[in-house]
Amino acid sequence: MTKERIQELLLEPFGTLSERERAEIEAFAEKDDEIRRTLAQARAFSGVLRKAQLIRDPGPATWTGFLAGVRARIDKRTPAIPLWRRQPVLVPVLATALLVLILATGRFGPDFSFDYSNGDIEASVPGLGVLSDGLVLTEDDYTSLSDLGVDAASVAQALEVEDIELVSEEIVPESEMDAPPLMDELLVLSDDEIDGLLAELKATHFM
Amino acid sequence: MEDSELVKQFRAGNEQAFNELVNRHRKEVYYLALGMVGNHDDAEDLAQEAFVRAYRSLPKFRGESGFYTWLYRITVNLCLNHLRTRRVRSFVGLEKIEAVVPSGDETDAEAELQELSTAARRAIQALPDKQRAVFILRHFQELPHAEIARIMGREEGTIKANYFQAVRKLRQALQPHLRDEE
Repeated sequence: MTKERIQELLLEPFGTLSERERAEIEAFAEKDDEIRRTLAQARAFSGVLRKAQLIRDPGPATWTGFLAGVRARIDKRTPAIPLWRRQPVLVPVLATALLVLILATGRFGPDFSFDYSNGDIEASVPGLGVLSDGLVLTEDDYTSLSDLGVDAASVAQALEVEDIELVSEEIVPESEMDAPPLMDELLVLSDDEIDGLLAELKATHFM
Repeated sequence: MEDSELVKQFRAGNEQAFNELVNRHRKEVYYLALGMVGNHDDAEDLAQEAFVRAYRSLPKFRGESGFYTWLYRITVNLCLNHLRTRRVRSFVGLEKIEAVVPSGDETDAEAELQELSTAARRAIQALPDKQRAVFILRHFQELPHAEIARIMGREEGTIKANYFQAVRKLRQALQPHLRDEE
């Protein structure tokens, strides 16, 4: 084993080294001062992290309630009541948004429809469909909201939520729905970021 | 019973199979989140959220990767999101990390240990988020680089580079304590 390889191994956690690798490192350290020092440092590092107890068991109370907590969240998010009943404030927000659209563009009829007579909200303005499903907005939604002159932050405020999530639909194409979700592409935006995004959208698409 | 069998049973309508998956993986998921975010409350919250996301996505999960790889990936991404939001929204940084506060009654050795623990936590939390994720997965979960690469959705070489950089930074940050150990 080369010295470079030994040095590389000495950066790895001790627990992952094989018996043979450990023996080779020890043997090398006998004849090489630099490796001896690196080995001592690696052991010290490992010892410090072990002593620091960074990953501690939180105690039985956490584990007894853990599954119940997961189950409660799952149940809570299974909608038993239509969204418009749970979040009635959404209705005037959407109605205002559509009114603004009508006043601003004079567009009626085939471009959009708004209906909640069937117990759920349907706003079929292109790109605005996700609004009917909750609080997750796509980039298209933002574009549409911007088009409507609606500030997304005020929607969040009206819904009494801190965040509106922005999801790019393109990152999870239908054909790859079985792959692990690419959630690192999912952004949770602050109010300032939403303002910035809307300003950018307005500047790039509507000016 | 293998995870894949439990997944299959859950998809066939057996809710108990999902409970078994939670009980089987809850500790590792919690420890991963704890390493990432540095405090119990957020770690528990994120760990539970990871299982909720898994529950909702499992019907579409075809099992091309192992269940735990997929679950870890969800957890890491949730933690990265959480850290990004926390940083942007409230500028909560190192001060939110659970520091071990001396009570005044402990011996010198205990006080030293508490100081060491706080220093190590701060050093780990000071790492860039992705380096921290790689370090936790490698050092504490002892996963192979290739597995971490699958979880993080990165090349194995990138993961190795991230890990080695993390170790170098941590050794540097903890140098005074390392000298004591040597």
